[in-house]
Amino acid sequence: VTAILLDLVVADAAAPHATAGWPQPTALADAVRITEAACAAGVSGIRVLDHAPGVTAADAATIAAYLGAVSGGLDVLVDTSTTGNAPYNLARRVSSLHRSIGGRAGVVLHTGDGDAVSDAVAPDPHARHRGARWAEYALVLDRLWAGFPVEALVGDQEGEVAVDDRLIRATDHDGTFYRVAGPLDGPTERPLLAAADVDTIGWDVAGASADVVVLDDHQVVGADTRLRDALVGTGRTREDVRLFGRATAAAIVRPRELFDWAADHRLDGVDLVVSGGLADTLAVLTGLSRLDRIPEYR
Amino acid sequence: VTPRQLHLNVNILNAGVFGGSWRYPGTDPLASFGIEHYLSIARTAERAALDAVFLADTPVLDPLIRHRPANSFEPTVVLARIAAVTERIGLIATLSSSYHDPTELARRVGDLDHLSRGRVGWNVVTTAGSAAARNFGLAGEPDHGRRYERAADVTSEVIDSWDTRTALRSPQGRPVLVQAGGSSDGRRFAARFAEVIFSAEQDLHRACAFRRDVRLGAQAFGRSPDDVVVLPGLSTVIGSTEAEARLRRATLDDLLPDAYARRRLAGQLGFSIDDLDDDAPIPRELLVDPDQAGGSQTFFRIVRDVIDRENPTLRQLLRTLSGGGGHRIVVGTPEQIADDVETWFRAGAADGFNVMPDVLPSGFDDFVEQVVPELQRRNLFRTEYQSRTLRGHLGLAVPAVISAPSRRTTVSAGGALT
Repeated sequence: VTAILLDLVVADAAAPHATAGWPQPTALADAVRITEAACAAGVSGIRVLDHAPGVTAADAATIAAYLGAVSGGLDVLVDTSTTGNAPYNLARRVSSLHRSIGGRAGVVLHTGDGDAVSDAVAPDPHARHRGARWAEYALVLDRLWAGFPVEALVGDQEGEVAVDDRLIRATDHDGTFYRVAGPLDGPTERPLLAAADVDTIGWDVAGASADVVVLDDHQVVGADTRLRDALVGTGRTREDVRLFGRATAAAIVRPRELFDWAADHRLDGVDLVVSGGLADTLAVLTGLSRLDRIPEYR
Repeated sequence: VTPRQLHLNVNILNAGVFGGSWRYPGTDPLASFGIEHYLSIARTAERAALDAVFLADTPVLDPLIRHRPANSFEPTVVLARIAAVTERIGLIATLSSSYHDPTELARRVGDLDHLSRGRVGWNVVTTAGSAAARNFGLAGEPDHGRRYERAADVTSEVIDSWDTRTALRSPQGRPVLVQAGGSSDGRRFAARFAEVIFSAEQDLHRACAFRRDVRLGAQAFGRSPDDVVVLPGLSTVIGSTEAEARLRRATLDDLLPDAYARRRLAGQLGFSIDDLDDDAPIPRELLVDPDQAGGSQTFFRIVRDVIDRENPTLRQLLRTLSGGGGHRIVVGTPEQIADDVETWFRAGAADGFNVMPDVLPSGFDDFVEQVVPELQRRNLFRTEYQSRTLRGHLGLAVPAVISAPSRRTTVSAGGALT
């Protein structure tokens, strides 16, 4: 039982070229076609990458919001990093996306540096460790996303209460890299938080914070064991954290091989990269659509 | 030669500009927390060939949300989604220059401009208030002048980033720069950068003077006066008869949550009104000079102008403002509203308006179905789009990029980028 996320990256129509291990960048119109085909094929979701070698990729959150018009029941994961994004801004953007597509958004958060706004007032201006920054960032996202529950929406016209603000909680985060008062400006259920770069973050942090861990090729072997070890004593179980392994497929994908590979490594899902262009991607999706419904992984 | 025509944006201010809008009969009180509200209004705006939809924004929870829905979506997410379901309508997002990393902002807004095929505007705001500041690690609101210094630095950096793009470029060159602050600092910023000014003028003569000043100010920065489009905010209350319109306004006043109105006014004034007499005017000694006010000097100035002009009691002032920002409110039949719009336009007080319907979507539906056709009959507004980009709609030239970004010149609208 394996969930499938399909990777895509959008760049200029004229620019695309393929790099091994990466999806071929597509123009926006092709990304729409791929998303529609992914919906029809019944895959679990799409993952919009924020960069690719050799091209200028379009901002993933903006592309994801655009694709929300056609993404239907797909999960939509957005790649980004801490670099350039004050946590409040990223939390808002992802929660807005989440609400705009019926609660199916998530972020694949990469390690990175700070941003011009937060750095200027960083509690510890000398702190540099990217793994530690990621851990703190994930904590802030978690608190911001938990602070304004959708149950607070009341809409009591007679009683003059639009929102029950007693259910809203401030964030009051005061850490090493960030201070964030919160709460978020809008109601949200929790979007998915996916960890990339687990080598830098560490399994302990990923296991404690993430809903999904996305693994590169070299991280797949033994990942299940490392995750189980990291979860000991955290109060979380293996079912709370999903492992997705990145797999590159050609036009003719053999789903059974893909699923066997995932099962061999006790992965919960496959993060699928189709190395060809639009035609290959559509062919792969057609192949997958012949399967029984691919399970959800939430 | 096509006569000069109006520009019209719709400001999708959650449930409507009035504080009681979300309680108006037939209104879904929570619609503005869902994306369909914005998509539907944008489609209506596009059917009417409006220039753009406009989204205000402050990155903070509205402290008065108990008594009124507030903006709750990040604007670029909403506009990207609108871009996917529309073809022509312009898309103006408010983003804070104080609380964004300029590199990230330039990329995201520039990419949105690319994917919408040149329909984006950036409304540059400096973001008043200490609550927003605390979401970004600051202990309190930066000084007003300092906020505008940073706005100029950030805006320059963002423009240079757009002008030197080699990929994901926009058919309109770069997003349109919009500015909405009426303070002295804001006006200097507008003269240097703004291509559209969302102003908050109440009085025809002062609005004429304001527009003349910003056009002259632009010239002082080596720009053409015609490179600046001045769009005052215009709150509309429409009825098929004058009596019906007045009744609608009175109903909205009655629906205004009192706690909301009082706390909002206190916020605009910068002091508590809890101990003031409802039936007496606000003591003059409490009102500082607008340039000395913290927070939003624009809205302090508007409220102060109302007090100077009408000397209302506190109770009357609360009703006059009716929980709106303080933008000018016109109440009447479609013909009366068209008369008002035409008067301001022909007098040189406005190049068009940022329309802020009383209640959304009903007040905007009425505007599109009744006021827009009247303006079209008077040949004051287009009947269909003549261009595909926001710059094209606004009659603004595509900025030509030359080797040094600081030495910008322009080519004619629709001209090719170099």
